[in-house]
Amino acid sequence: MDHAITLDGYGVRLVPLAPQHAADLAALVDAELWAGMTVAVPDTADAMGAYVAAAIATPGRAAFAVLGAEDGEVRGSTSLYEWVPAQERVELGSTFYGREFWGGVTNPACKLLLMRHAFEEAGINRLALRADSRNARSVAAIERLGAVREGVLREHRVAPDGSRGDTVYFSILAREWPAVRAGLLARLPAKH
Amino acid sequence: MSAFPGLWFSDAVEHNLVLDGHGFRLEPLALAHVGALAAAVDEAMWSGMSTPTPRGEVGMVNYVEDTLATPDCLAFAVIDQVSGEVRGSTAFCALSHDQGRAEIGRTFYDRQVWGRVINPVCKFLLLEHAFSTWGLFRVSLRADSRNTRSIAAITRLGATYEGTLRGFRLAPDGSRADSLSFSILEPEWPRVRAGLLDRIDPLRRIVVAEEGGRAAGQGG
Repeated sequence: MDHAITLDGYGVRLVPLAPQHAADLAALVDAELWAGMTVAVPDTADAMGAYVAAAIATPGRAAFAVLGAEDGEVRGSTSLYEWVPAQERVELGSTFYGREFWGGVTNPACKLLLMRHAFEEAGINRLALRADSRNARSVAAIERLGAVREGVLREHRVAPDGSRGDTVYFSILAREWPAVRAGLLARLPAKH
Repeated sequence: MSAFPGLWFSDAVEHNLVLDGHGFRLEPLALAHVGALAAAVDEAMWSGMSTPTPRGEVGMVNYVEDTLATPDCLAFAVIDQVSGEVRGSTAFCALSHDQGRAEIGRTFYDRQVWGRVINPVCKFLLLEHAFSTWGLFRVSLRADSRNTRSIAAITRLGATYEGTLRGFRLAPDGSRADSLSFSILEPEWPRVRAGLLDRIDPLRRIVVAEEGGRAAGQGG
């Protein structure tokens, strides 16, 4: 869906995902990096353009480009999706970053900015995250946040290679956000 | 400060899918069904649903329009084929052919037909279409954790419990309720199907057993 949410902090800037981001995003991805997703890897500008267009057109999805705050460099993309304001719930996912941004502040910064927006500004009571059960990196990252594992959706998703896999489902409730926030802040530089 | 964009509705999801069998017909939900559906609803029976109780015909018009506007949702009115009466509503939601999955939900029936065959028939028609016609791999169902009737019905189907979605629904009374998540996978469908047919036509089990006995006694 169209949105106008822009979030800044901790060295990153999240802006609405737009067609102009497609070429830079395409340069960041490869099949291995994309393995936890559910669509074919969009590693050409055209394919990524289609991915971006679909993301923007999806109802209930606010898609973002992740930029470096200082240099405006495109680092990746992430989304709030299945956003149901009347039910005060949303999911956070479809996240990818270029490899050079792995293991640094980009992911915790994005998580902090998006979750803070969801819980503190948008009245969210339940924020869920999912991962392909075979994507150990993603599962570990979500667990590290302190999200609560709720169950496994069996044979839920089709991976880019066409295989079916399970989806592990996690959530953070509003009352749990303070502890999650503290954990994220501890991973980020004090000065931002 | 609200960062929400305005309420977003897709164009109404129109479909022309009709499923029928075993005395019931599922036809596309439409405003024409509002009168009968409104008469079928009361506060107590709606308590396990995820939306406020539709009040009167105006409330049901809102409910039907909201349902019709939900993306990836194919909603039905449930018609008794003998009497022609509208007895309830149900839907496929979150349908994704790419991902080979759908959810069955938004289900409610007139109290007068509770405990009879309407639910197993509707589940049979929907699941048969999902697995056998569409070739889906997974069908999920959810129930409010406090809706013991619904949980019992889903469990009786033979669906597998997968987990509890915490605080998933804002209940009509304003409290947050957990939702239990269940699924049926394609390899499990034959067994679920046989169980539904046994409930829809209990006489069938006797007929099948008799035919089996006759066959065993022949030949050799």
